[in-house]
Amino acid sequence: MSASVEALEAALRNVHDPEYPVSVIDMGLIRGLVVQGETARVRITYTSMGCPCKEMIVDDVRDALLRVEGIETVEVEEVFEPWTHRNLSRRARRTMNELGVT
Amino acid sequence: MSSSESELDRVVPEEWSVTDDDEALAALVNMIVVLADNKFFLGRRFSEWLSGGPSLESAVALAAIAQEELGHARALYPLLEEMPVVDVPGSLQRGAERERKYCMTALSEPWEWWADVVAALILVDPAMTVLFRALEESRYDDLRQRAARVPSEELFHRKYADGRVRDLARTDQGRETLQRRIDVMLPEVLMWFGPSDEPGVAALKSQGLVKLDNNELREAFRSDVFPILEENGLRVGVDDFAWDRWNSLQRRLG
Repeated sequence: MSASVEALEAALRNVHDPEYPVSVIDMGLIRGLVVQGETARVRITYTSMGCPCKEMIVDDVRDALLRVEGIETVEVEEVFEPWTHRNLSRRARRTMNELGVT
Repeated sequence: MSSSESELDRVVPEEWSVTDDDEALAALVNMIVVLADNKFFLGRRFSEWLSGGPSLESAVALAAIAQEELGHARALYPLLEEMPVVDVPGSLQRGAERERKYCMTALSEPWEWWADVVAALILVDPAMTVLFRALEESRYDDLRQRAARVPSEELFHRKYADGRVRDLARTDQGRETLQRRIDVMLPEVLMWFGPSDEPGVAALKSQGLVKLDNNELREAFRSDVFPILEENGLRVGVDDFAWDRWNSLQRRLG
């Protein structure tokens, strides 16, 4: 049985941005999640085109999704969509505020 | 941009649908490698000043700026790999070398003075941003997506550049030092947009791949950058362009 998109999203809620204790979902980095058979396809953007943590984030996303039952392959595509602080979820904003990040 | 790359023989054109116009395709390849190389070398030159700037704050700011410039180059180089032409210039990332560089002469060698850094911040970086803005509605999706992100990331670079121009222009000595670097860099930056009626750019514009022609880009740059320079007592007159020394393929003087 194929994994569900909800299962992928739940897995990605445990993948934190390398700089803040905020998941890549709450950071607004994940722009698409699709399951095709045993393959998870992820569309991702970053807070900056020069983000030095891209490889680390991709590795963490891949590792998390490969632990989802039914997923054997993960394909991550960078989509270069704009990112602003408005893409942060309320939960992420609360965490950022608690950390003193404005 | 340039249409003189005779080695750009087309391959598998049916799999690539952005344009079937050979002149536009050659100009597109040239424009991407020119943008990527200039971003790459701008980032490299800035990174060389992380320990040579006037303050700790300048080092931190330049580190962030250099990282983003390199990021912009990193986003552009993969586009070259999907071009339906042979002998496309390769990436310069991760220590890769290529004999022919497509960057301005002003970026070719390490800079000697802090004023060079400031001149590049206020001239070279904004010139490229003008071109990225002209690509924000390009019919070439992969390029449009990348180009559309760059101007917003450049806002901070520009604020920093304006501040450093004001810093240097506060004293006669600082202003004169910056003026000398501007006198060297500005003619090449203005020429970087290319001569009037360049066939490759005309093809790009007619194909909906870029919004402005060379003169419109140059004028947009003047409108964007000259006010801050003139407000600070800096001269921006360039009497004529040395097109006889212009390399249209590498888009540089010399």
